[in-house]
Amino acid sequence: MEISKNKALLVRDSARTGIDNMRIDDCLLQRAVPEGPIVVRIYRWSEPTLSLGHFQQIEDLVDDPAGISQPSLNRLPWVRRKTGGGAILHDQEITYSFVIPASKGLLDKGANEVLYRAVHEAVRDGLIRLGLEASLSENCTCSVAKKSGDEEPFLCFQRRTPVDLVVGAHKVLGSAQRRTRAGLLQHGSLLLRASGEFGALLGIQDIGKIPSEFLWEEWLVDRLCEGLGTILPLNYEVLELKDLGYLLK
Amino acid sequence: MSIQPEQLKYCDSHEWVYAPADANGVATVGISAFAVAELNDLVFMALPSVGQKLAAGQEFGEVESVKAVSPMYSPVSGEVTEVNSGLVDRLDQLNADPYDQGWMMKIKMSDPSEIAKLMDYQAYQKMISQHG
Repeated sequence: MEISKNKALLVRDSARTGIDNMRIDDCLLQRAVPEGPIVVRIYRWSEPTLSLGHFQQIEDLVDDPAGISQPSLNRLPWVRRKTGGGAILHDQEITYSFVIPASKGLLDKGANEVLYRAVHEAVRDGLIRLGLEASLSENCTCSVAKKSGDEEPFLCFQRRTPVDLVVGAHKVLGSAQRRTRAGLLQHGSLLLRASGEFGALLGIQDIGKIPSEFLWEEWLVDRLCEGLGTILPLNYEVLELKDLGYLLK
Repeated sequence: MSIQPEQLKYCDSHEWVYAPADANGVATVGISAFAVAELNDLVFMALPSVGQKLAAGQEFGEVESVKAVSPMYSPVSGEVTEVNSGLVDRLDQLNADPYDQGWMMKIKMSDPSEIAKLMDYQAYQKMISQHG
């Protein structure tokens, strides 16, 4: 008997402003319907932008060691995500998002780690094949911060959760989620190179010997399909964003 | 006040509501011990404002755990009369006691008959046991 596959729409989008990028992902989550397709989007940002976790305030950056040491962060355009976690500097990185409708049975509150892990392990295995010593962090700055009474660092890539992907001491992939009755939105950011706005965070290209012309978007699409495919059998259709117009109104 | 889980009505999204006959139509709302355990390591919570009007099933607040933001839905319609605002800074109270200390809001119900549509304790226990 043939196993029925879930329909997934794959969009390799162009670079957009922070406001547009977040608006599109919010729309895709709001329009998620039972038995509707999973939508996967890969995109960049048209200018260096900070995206804040849903509960973060931009004022908190001023008191954060990263904000004090790198005041240029305070001057960047910023947008708030619907997903949790810390702020991300979107510059030399690729962002992914996917929306899974509630009907796919992955919305139990305890199921979030399953999705983080599926994607991060696929990226980890891909990086290992590229010769990088990638692993899941297995550390958690949240628990450390709670015990000490300190706040976690403002920037996501200075924090650690056990499923974050690291190469040596450097975090290169982090993800976050939002859940509603309609479905689940997961965001993630793959750090390729250090940003001129904040050089302390190294990316994959800074650590590994990978040709500068390496096609990371294609590579990340394959890893996402691989990771999600370990949870749900998926049948992908590649589209452009304009083809999703009906979901973005 | 001492709220026992057996006295409560529940939503499938894991909120509980306590609406005794002598409360003049004011219901107390929170989230179940099961939801607190599933959420694991809560770091942020947002609650509604006093005076806010809510419809049954409408979002009244949000929680963040393990970088996932999840909404909480009001079990009944009405106007928020009181909020346990101190809970936001003492989320560990939810782990210790999601019913008495962990209540989130009180709401003056506009349609108390909505309570009858919710699950009782036994039905809720059956639902969560099927989560595996």
